[in-house]
Amino acid sequence: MAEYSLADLNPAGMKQNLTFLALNNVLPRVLGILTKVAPVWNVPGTNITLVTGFDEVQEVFSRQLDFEVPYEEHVEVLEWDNFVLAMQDTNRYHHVHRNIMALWKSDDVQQIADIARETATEILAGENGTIDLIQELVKPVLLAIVEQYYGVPVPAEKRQPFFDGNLAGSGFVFSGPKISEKKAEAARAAVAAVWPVIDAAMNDARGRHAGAAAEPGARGDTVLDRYYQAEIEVPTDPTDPDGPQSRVPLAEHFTEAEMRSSMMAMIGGYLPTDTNAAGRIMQTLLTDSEAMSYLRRAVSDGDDDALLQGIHEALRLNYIIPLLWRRSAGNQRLGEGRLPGNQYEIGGNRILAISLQAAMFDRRRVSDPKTFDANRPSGDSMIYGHRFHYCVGSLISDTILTELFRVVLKCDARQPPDESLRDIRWVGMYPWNMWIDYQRSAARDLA
Amino acid sequence: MTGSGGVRKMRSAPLTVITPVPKAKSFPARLFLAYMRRFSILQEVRDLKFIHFARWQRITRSSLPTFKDQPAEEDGDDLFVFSTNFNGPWNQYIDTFSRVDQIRKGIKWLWWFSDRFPGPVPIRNFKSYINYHTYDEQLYYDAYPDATVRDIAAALSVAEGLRQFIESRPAAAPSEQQFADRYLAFLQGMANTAVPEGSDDQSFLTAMCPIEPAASGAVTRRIRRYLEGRSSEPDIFADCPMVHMARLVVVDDLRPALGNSTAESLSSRYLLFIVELDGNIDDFLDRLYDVAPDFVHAVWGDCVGFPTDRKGPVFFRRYIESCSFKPNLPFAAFPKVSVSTITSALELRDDLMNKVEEWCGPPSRDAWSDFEASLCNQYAGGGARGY
Repeated sequence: MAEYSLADLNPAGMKQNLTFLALNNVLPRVLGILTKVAPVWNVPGTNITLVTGFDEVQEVFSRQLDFEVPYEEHVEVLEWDNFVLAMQDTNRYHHVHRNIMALWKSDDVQQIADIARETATEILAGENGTIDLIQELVKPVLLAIVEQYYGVPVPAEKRQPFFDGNLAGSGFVFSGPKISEKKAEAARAAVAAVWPVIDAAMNDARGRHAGAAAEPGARGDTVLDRYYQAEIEVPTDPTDPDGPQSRVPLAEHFTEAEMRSSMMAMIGGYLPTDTNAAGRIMQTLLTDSEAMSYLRRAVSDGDDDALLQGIHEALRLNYIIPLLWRRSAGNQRLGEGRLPGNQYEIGGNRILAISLQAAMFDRRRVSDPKTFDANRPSGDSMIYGHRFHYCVGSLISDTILTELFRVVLKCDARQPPDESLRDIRWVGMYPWNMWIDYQRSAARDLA
Repeated sequence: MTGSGGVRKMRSAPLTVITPVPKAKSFPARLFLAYMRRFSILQEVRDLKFIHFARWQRITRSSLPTFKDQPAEEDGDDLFVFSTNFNGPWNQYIDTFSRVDQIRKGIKWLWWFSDRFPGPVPIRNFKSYINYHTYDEQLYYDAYPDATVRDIAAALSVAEGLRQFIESRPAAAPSEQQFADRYLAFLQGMANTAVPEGSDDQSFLTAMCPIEPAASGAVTRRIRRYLEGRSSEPDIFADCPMVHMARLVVVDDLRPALGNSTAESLSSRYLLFIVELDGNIDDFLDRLYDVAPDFVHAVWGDCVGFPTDRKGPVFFRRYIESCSFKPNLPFAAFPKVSVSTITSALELRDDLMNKVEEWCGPPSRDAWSDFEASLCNQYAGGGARGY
C-alpha cells in the first residue's frame, strides 16, 4: 500500500491554482467587504452565519456555552475522543486542558528553543545556500520538537506520511462542518499515518517506565517520560476533597486514552499551524520590505521581544486560517452590552463561520490594518484566538518561530535570484514549497 | 473641596463640577464649546501652568444611555460637566478663575449657559456655586502624583536640552576646558529650552453608566463603598501604562440650581468614568479588563445594561462605548506627550540634578561619559557615544 502523501493527492495544476486563488485572494476580499457592511451576516438560503467584525468575533469566542464547537462528527471520523479543541466547556474539557498544561510546561521553553535553534542551524550549515524553507527546514525543525521534546520518535520512512497526515487531519477539522464521504475517507487515510506512530511511542515509553528505573529522554525528560513518571496527589476519599491526600501515578488520574488524544492534539494542532505560520510569515517578509527590515533590526539588536512582536504582526497580516466554526445553541443575540438596535439575532442551531482573519482587519478597531506595524497594541491581534480555546500551544509556537526566524534572518534569508524558484507552491491552504537563499557561511558561524 | 475619602495625597487634585443647563440654553452651549474647540487653543489656561487636564462637556438628558428595564429620563435640565486636575489649593485655583482677566471672561462664557450661574465675580458667590455643584470622586488616579505641571514642563525641557547637548557633541574630542564650557552653557541654557511637542495621540473618555433607578440606592451604596475601599490599595490603573489620570464619580442626581424648586431629578443614578489616556480607548479598556477583571465586574457588573453573566473584555468595551460621550472641549497641558515620556523625563531630570549637585561644577569628560552611558541605557536602550 502506498504511503500517504498530501502532495501526491494535490498535484500542482489548475485545481490547486484555483484553490489557492479562492482561499488566499477571493475569500479574504469577500470577508473584508462583509466586515465593513455586515459584520454579522445570515447567508440567505443557508444555515450559515458569517461573523467578521472584531467585536462580534470576540463575543462569539467569549460565549462558548451559547456558541458551541461543532466538531463531533470530525472527532468520530478521526476516532479522536477528548480532542481538546473539539470539546465543549465542560468539566471534562477543563480536566484535559489542565493536564495538558501540566505536561507541556511553560518552563520547557528553553529546551524547545535549544532544539529548534540547533536543528535549524545544523540544517542551514549543511545545505548549499538555497533551501526549501518548508520541506527542508520548517518540517525537520518541527519534527525534531515532536521527537526530542514530546518523546514521539518518527521513523525515517514514516516522516513524510506522518507530517502530511497531520496537515490533512487539521485541514479536515477546520474545513467546515459539512462532511462528505469522500472527505471522511481522505481524513481516515491521513490519520492512519499518524496514530500508529503515537501508539508506538506510548508503548515504548510505557515499557521503559514499567520498571523502577526510568530512562530519561535524550534531552532530559520528554513529555511522554514525564507522563509515565509523574505522580499526583489526590484525595484518599474521593467524597472528601479536603481530606488526607495520597500519591498516585498520573496515568491513573489522566488516562492513557486521554493522553493519547492529547498527544495527537498537541502534534496535530501544532505541526500544521506552525508550518503554515512559518511559510506565511516568510512570505510577508519577502514581499514587505518594512516588515523584513524591522525583523532584521530586531535580530541584529538581539531584541527578542521586538522579534516576536514582528513575527506576530507578520502573521496577523497573512493569517493561517480563513474561517473557524461554531454552532448556536438555541436562539441567540449577538451584540450584548450594546444599546438595543445594535444587536443581531442568530437562530438556533445555525452554523457560524467566524473569520479571525477578517476581524483583525476591521478598521473599527484596528487602525491602518494592512500596514505592518509591530508596535500596534497587542489587543489588535487574535492570531492565537480569543478566550475559550485560545491556542494551548501558543508558548511552544512563539518559541519555535522566534528561534527559527532568528537563525534564518541571521543567515540573511532572501528571495532566490533564480526567478523559477520564487513561486511558492501551495497545497490547499498550506505553503508547501518555498525556496529561499541564505548565507551558508553565516550558518556555519552560528553552528 | 475635592473628593472625600477616596482621594489619595498627591500633588494634583481633581475637581468634578456638574451643573444644570436649561433646555433653551443647551444647544447654544454645545455650539459655544464647538466654537471654542475650533478657534481657541485655550492658551490662557495653558499659561496658568497648574492644570494638567480639563474638559467641558454638555450632555443632554436624552443622550444618557437607556437600557431595557431602565426608566427613561424625563424632561429637565441637561448636564454641563467640567472636570479638571490642578496643582495647589482649591481656593487659589478658583481665585484664578475670578481674578485673571482673560480666564474670567472665558469662565463667564463657559458657565453662562448653566442655570442661575452667578458669574465669576463676586468671588464668594462663584465659589459657593462651584462648591455646591462639585461631586466627590470615589476613586482618583494620577500617573505622576509627585509632579506639578511646572515640574513636568521643566523635566521635558531638561530631557530635550540633554538630548540636544548629547547630539550636538563636536566630532573631535574636546579638551577638558572646552567640555567644561559646553557643560556650563548647557546648564545655563536649559531653562530656555522649549518643551518639545509630542507625537502621541491622547484620548479623553467620558462615560456615564446608569447604576440603578433613582428610587433604589443599594447598588449605588455598594459601588460607592467598594470604590472608596479601593483608594488605599495599589492603584489598578497603574497597571494600565497608558493612563494619565482617571476618576470615578457617583452621580446620585443632578443638583438643581439653588432656589430652583421645580427642577426634574434624574431618573437613574449614574457612574461617571473620566479618563485621560494615550492611544485609543478600546486598548485601555482591554488592558483594564485584563489586569483587573474582578474590579470591572465589581464596579460595572451591577450597572443597568451590563451583561452581568458575561466574561470578556468585549462586553466591557461595548458597555462603556454605549455609555460614552465624545469630548466637546478637552484640554491637555502637554498634548501628545505620553505617560512614559513624562515619567521618563521626570526620572531623568532627578538623575541629572542629583549628579549636578554631586559634581558641584563641571565634571571630567570621563565622569560625564559614564553618566551619559547610564542615562542612555536607562532611558534610550543604549547608544551612548561618550568622550
